[in-house]
Amino acid sequence: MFKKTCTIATLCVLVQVLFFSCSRNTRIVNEVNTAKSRTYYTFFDTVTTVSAYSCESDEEFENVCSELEKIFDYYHRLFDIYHEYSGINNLCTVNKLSGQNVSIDKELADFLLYAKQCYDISGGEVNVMMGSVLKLWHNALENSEVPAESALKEAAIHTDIGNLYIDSEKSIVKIEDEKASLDVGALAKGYAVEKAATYLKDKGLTGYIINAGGNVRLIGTKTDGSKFKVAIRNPNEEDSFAAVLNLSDTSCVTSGIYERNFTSDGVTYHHIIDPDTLYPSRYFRSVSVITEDSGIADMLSTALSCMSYEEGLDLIGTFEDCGAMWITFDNEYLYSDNFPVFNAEEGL
Amino acid sequence: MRKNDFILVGCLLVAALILFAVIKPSDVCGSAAVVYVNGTEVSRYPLDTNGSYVLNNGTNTLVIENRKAYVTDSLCPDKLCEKQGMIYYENQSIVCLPNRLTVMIEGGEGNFDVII
Repeated sequence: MFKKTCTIATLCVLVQVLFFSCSRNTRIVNEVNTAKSRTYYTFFDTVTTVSAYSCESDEEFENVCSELEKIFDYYHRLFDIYHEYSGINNLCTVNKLSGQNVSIDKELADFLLYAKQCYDISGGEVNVMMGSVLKLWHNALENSEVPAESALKEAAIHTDIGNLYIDSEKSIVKIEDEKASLDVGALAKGYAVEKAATYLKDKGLTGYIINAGGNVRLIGTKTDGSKFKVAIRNPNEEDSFAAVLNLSDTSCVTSGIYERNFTSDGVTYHHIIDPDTLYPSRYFRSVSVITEDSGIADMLSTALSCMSYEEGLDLIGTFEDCGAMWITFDNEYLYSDNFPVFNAEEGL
Repeated sequence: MRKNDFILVGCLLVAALILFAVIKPSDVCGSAAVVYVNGTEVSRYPLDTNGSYVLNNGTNTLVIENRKAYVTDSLCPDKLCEKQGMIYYENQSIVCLPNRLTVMIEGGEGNFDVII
């Protein structure tokens, strides 16, 4: 009897040792997949984090970060509508000199042409000429005061994208309506992040995550070849995730209305303004888009926030390899066919 | 003999429990809230101890309650850091942009690489 018990005991110990060593192995794998990371607070009015999973030395990481920082800084200055910088005509300059020809960097001219394309693609839901209207809402968010409807309607007269004249060969731009102004907030982050991603790819680098305030760009895979695990928070329930996704070489952008907002007379006003109504969009609580180009993902997440699910499906259907997830105010989840969703539990 | 059996089984059970606690295939939650100011780590607080900590010369307060961390009493104008709620999964973070402060959960296992 004692012998038998001893055998069982030995078996038990063996099983435990096995279990113990397995769990140790997972830890080692995780150590291999540990990232170096760097955080920036000064670009695009958000936090930007660069994480590298396969960077061999600290020095290499420093070098890459300093190059990426230059890229972020350049586009931040170019797209800034609140400050001018010496030696460069940026969007603040262009807005200030509305009605006049302004000489700009070719990069900015190219971006504004892209912005015009985005207007057409999104059926006018992403309009960089909405500056006059958005200015009222920016002030509203700061003072928690809803703008007067008359002021919004008056501002909306000056949002015609046709009044944005671009000569890309001569790199000249002119806002032909003096009361109109540019605001590229819906496009800037994604565009700049894609430029940074292009830099990394051109250098042959892999295993990077760039996250500019929820605008996530994944470059390559992790060191062991596994995909990145991206969790999207559930805006309605703090304790759960809306989706957990295994992704590589793509972008994931979420436009949510749950952080930047204010409440007045019991109504919550957030920062995504629907060009059709001039008020915060009322379609969804959040929209997430997955597609390779971070600029396109950023644009689409804003566009989809301002249209119905059916219209949104039609829009993303025109893009290759583009998936989306919509979360309604009733906590209902809607997906496009190719949104790579799997059970959040499974992802854990 | 029978008595010895019981003792052996008892010992094994205790050993198993201890080992299980030590190497618990820890859930996705992290083990510490790490505070960064301007991208540099300034302090870290274990999630298993409840507490309230004044951060960054008083610009924000970090509260840890039942293994969850959140930020209160921020001196920033937008209070976005307070609206970000509780965090507890590894790589989950709260950001206070005006104060250039990030609270990040670290030290979990097999978790998410990004949480948005």
